[in-house]
Amino acid sequence: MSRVIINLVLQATEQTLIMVLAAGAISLLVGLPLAVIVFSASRKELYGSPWIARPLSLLIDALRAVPFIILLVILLPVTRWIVGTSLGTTAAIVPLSIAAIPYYARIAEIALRGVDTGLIEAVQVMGGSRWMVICYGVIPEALPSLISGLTVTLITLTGASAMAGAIGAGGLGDLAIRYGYQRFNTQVMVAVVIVLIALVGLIQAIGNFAARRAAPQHG
Amino acid sequence: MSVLNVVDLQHSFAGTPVLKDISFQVQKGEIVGLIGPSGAGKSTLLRALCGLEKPDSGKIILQNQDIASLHERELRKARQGIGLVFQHFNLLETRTVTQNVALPLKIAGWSAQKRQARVAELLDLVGLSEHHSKYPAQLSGGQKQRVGIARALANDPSLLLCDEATSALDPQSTTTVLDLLSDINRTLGLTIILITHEMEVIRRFAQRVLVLEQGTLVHDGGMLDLLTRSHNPPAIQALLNETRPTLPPQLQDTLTQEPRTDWNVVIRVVLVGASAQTAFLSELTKHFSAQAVLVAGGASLCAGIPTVDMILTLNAPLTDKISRYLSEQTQLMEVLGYVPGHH
Ligand SMILES: Nc1ncnc2c1ncn2[C@@H]1O[C@H](COP(=O)(O)OP(=O)(O)O)[C@@H](O)[C@H]1O
Ligand SMILES: [Mg+2]
Repeated sequence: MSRVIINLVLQATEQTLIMVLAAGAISLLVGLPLAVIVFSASRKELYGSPWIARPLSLLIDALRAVPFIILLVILLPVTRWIVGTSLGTTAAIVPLSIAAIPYYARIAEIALRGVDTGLIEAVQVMGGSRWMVICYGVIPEALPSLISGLTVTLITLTGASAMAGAIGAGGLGDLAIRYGYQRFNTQVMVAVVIVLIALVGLIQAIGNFAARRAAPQHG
Repeated sequence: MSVLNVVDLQHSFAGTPVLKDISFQVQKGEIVGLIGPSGAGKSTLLRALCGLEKPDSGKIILQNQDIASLHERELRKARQGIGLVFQHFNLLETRTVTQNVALPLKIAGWSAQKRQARVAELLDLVGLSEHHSKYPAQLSGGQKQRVGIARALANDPSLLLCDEATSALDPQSTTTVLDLLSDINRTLGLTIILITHEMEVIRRFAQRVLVLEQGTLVHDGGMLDLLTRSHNPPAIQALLNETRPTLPPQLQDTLTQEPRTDWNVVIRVVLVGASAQTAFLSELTKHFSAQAVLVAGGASLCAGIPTVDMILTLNAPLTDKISRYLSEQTQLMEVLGYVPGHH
């Protein structure tokens, strides 16, 4: 393989990593609180405010229903307003995050819902506030599922970032399409696929390790 | 001194009344058993006592505070004075035994140092010191429940509530957990209210029994009152029968309610306290030359009092004299029927 190709693949890997990690971090920072809000608003043991839970839940589903490629286009003006440009790797982080936030929020909310009501009551009976119920009870107990959910989100982001090539974001998927598909450069295509497989495998392995650490009784 | 005073408690779910005008008091140091058929409202009552369910009306006075009308902040404070032990333990799976027991202390604002000392003391009390760094999944059911008890006792509650605390346990663990509760009651003078469907638990353990039936409190008194009463409401009788001697099947099949000459009379007698310790059977034989044969039952402790609950066959007609003797000597005498004799 030529140096040029190696450099191309390395650069694309870096771009993919930047997009996936940045959008992943944003989806965690915004998605998890969103999940906590929906969860605690929908539980009558906690805040019991369906008028908050339902519209939020609806918004999350609506965003998830929009195909990513369409989201990419719709969000062009928003992206330009936030990052100053609608092209490039940094610009792609905006639509990727907007797609990943509701995705992770829903996964996280389902993880929180999986915590036994009995545990919520146990913390309440100790005299715990709603905040303590969430911090000491619900989140730690849901942690393994929250981590697995983040792993899935990161892997989905890796796939979605390929489409961000459409707005010049670069990355591995973009490289594969431009060289492999459009120019029939099999070498690049194979190299990209191998790197992608390794990347996804690595994310999954780290995710599994972290999830196992968070569920110590199985370790 | 009454620790808990429940006055006219009412609660309903979606318009269906579940608790109807419940009133009772619990004295300090008492162990009160709460029984009743499934769906009677036992859990709802217990949940109301610790403020998990806000009743529609009525008062729950615990330490001069009405749990039913407290606002969230005061209710949280008041809950620290109540311990709840769950049927399914409800331990935090991702926390060690120590962390589980320490959580109520952390919530109550104890410093890490004081928490550590208190947790050690509590684990010692429930006999789990050597398991302090294990996770719940590494413990047996009985051990998990002892962690649950240690956690419930952490803040030194004035009232301990147990909802079917031994129902998920095997008989041996049940005994260990009940003995532990019994010890705590004796040594700490802790007041305990305990829901169970196992009458045997009540019999061994409870000094007083509350019976709920379809949301109404139908009995509030000693277990012995129930045992020595010939007419109990059917629901109570069904519960009682679980723990009482029953007629062996071969006798049950031939039992008839019609008195027949030369047939044996089948009677149930209950003797309580001092009379339970007399040589009742031989006295009976001596006085009336009637052979009394024990077919089921025997002696046991009921709430710590020696009690005999047994079924006998008598190979003599139940004359007025025998009847009078039996009712003088026993706390309950019931004729169950007649079976063919073996003369
Ligand atoms: N959260 C709830 N919502 C609606 N109905 C309930 C709820 N909890 C209990 N019930 C109903 O109230 C009745 C009493 O329930 P419960 O107190 O659990 O009975 P027990 O513990 O004696 O078996 C049952 O008919 C049950 O279906
Ligand atoms: Mg129940």
